[in-house]
Amino acid sequence: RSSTHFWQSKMAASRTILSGCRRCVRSWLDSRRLSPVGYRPGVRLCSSSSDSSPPTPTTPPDFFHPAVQSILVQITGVDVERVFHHVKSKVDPPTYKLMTDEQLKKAYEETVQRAGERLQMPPVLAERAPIDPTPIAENPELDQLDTAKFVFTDISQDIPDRERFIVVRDLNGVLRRATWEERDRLLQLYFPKEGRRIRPPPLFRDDHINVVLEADRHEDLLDLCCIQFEPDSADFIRVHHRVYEDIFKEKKYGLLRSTRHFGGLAWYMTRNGKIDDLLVDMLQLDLADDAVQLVRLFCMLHPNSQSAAQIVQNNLQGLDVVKTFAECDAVKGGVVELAIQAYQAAQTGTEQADTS
Amino acid sequence: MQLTTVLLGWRAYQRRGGPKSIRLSLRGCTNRPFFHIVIAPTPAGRDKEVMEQVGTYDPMPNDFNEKLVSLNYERLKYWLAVGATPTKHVAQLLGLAGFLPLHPMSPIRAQRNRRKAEEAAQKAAQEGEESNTEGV
Repeated sequence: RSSTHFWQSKMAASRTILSGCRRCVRSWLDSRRLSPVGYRPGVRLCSSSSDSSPPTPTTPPDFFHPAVQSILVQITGVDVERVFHHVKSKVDPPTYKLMTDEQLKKAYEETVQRAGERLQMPPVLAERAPIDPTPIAENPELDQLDTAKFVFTDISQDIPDRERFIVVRDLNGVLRRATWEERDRLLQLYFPKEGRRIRPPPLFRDDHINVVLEADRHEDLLDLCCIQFEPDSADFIRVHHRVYEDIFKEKKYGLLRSTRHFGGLAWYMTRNGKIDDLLVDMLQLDLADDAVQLVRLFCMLHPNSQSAAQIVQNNLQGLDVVKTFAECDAVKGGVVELAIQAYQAAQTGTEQADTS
Repeated sequence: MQLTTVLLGWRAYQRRGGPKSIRLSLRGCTNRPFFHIVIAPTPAGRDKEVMEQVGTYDPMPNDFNEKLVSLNYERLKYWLAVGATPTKHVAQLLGLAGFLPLHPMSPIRAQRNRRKAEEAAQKAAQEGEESNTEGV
């Protein structure tokens, strides 16, 4: 295969050079120079997603690292009933299909795959740096030209949102770039995204969020937040952290399990070392594998901790991993150990019931 | 085909070679002006025979005290290269946007506004003094 590729590229080169057309040769040379070796087109969330080298002991991995993502996907779980829950929409008469057992199995597997696509996690990014406030041009002779500012937006087609020019001519004659808030508002005005409002609804104010959280509507709030705000905006991060803190305080982990927000929740808790109650919750629901994966994630993010060192040293597996964590780094170690013992007792009890 | 349609078609065909303007075309409704920035043949009516729309201009400030202008720089560059001429108002807007150099009338208008504001302030100050002295 490599030899045919070699000859094809040679023939392409000779064709362009023999044609003598300078533009063809220049564009061919440019495309060879600019395309990376072994280029594979695909959706890239951010630049760090291409870096899949194993993390060194000194640098903890990023949210987009494949190992981290696989753990988070596993912890989230796929509850098909929850993902495809009933939504108020236009009702059609139901369709009935006659299927064999094999067809039914295949249809179920396809449903699980579709559920997995619906559970794609919104990205966790650092807050965006403020836009450079230095003026593009200063014209003091334009002071008091008008009583209102002028905002100029570029509406050329096919430009990514982040690269679009939006500039503001202030009342004192200074021409500057628009701030992030102005950008979000104007991009929604000229290139509307479905479901997003031009001005953020008062739902996301701190006093109104309390009402929503008391009604246990964390998932709906986070869905609306993902629609309204960009992932690296201050409001997005503030609302998400507020919801996660409320879940931590009230121990309502079941509200987000098997939704697309569970990965972000687990990441936030693990980074801030607040995973004890989550481990207890998992063990009470007989999700021992998930608990083990969560502790492994903790060790990946805190490679200098005692439990990480011990697990790597003794090469522990299974519930021993969780026990080591409970001894070394857990804030409520006793509670976690009790939960482990209860889980093990329940396991032996079911084994005895099976054998007897 | 009707005679008017034939004539309008022939006129549109004739217009293709003539001079073009980049200008404001008034839309909106009563007590609510709104402008489209359009490319049109120069002798055509203000809102007639628009060849292409390259932007919008809202003369009424919004809640954030902004007058919103949208410009399709890509197409503007093409039409300017082909020889379309912007009118005074559009040229001033493009100068304020930084796309073209500042129009000479912009600083003159600003100066006139500043002078008017100064005179109004002086007059108000004078009237204030007079009313004070009257009281005394």
